[in-house]
Amino acid sequence: MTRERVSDMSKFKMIAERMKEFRKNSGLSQANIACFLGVDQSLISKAENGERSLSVEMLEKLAALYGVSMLAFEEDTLPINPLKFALRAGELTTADMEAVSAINRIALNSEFMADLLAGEQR
Amino acid sequence: MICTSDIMTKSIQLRTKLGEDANSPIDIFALAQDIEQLTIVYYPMGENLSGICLKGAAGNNVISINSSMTVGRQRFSLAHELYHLYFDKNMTAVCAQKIGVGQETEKEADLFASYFLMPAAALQTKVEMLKAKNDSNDLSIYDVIRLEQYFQVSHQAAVIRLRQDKLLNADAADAMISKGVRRLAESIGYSTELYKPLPVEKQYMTYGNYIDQAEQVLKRGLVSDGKYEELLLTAFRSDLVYGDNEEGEEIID
Repeated sequence: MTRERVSDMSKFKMIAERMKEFRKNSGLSQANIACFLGVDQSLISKAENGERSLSVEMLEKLAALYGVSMLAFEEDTLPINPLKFALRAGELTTADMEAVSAINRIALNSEFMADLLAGEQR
Repeated sequence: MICTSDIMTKSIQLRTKLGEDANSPIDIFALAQDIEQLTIVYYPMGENLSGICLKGAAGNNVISINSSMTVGRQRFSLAHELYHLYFDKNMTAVCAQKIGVGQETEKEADLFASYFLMPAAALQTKVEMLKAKNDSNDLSIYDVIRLEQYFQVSHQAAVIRLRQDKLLNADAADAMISKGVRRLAESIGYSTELYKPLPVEKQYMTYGNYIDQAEQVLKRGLVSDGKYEELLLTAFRSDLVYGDNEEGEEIID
């Protein structure tokens, strides 16, 4: 196995672990996520076990739902402030999760622009 | 345990901080627009959620309000989210629509919203005036409508508060809370805007910090025109990208 291959494998494992952690921290179920992404729950289960991978589009949707950048799936440390829902997982609809994602995208962009503006001032 | 007097104090503290007196009805949307580094997003969230508050690491905060709810309720939701922004140590809050239920912080935020929009002393004075005018000890449904119109809150928020302050008894409150009041309000001369959601075309909108940030990054050459447009479109501001679709020229008067 080449070195690159090893690093790909560990990245793959890392994404799987992060997916599971983000979901648990936000109090969502695998069923919630499956519904949100429009896929079968077994795919989510396999993805979290590192047996299958999700498409980049799906990961992007998940990142927006959790309010993190795509890079957060590959980073060692978890973001400090996981998103908390005031609703129980069973009550949460796909529309609710889409609303949260839409607002998270705006919040992430706002941070991105703040970083650009702060970078220019330095 | 929720400490009501603590919440009351906080509501007055924030009014003062934002340049309002302790008693007058407030235009909360205009007030929020003036808060630095705050972005306000109107988004139709459906039936479960009322609002979202996200605090950014560098102090760039976002509050979103469910724009498919009535204007009166949106004002209450905004006050509720301001509690999360200023007094909740958690960085994110996704809030459910039911008033007065859920976790402790949610109940606190609801109580705060009620006092922020309807300060205790002002409400008391108004109620006394109505009672004196009617020469009665009980508030009628029309009185409750006058109060909610004066403070610009939803009918539910008004009834819940009046009951809680023992200005309405439980039976009267129960009878009034689920009553549709739009027609009644109309019949005594009020506009019904308070009881309606925003028009559908205005339900997706972003104001405040974000728009300013987008202009700044473009002006300083930190992003391309394409990226600037993408930033605005993500925030539902196609009007700024493709131009205004409102008819007629601006009237300067």
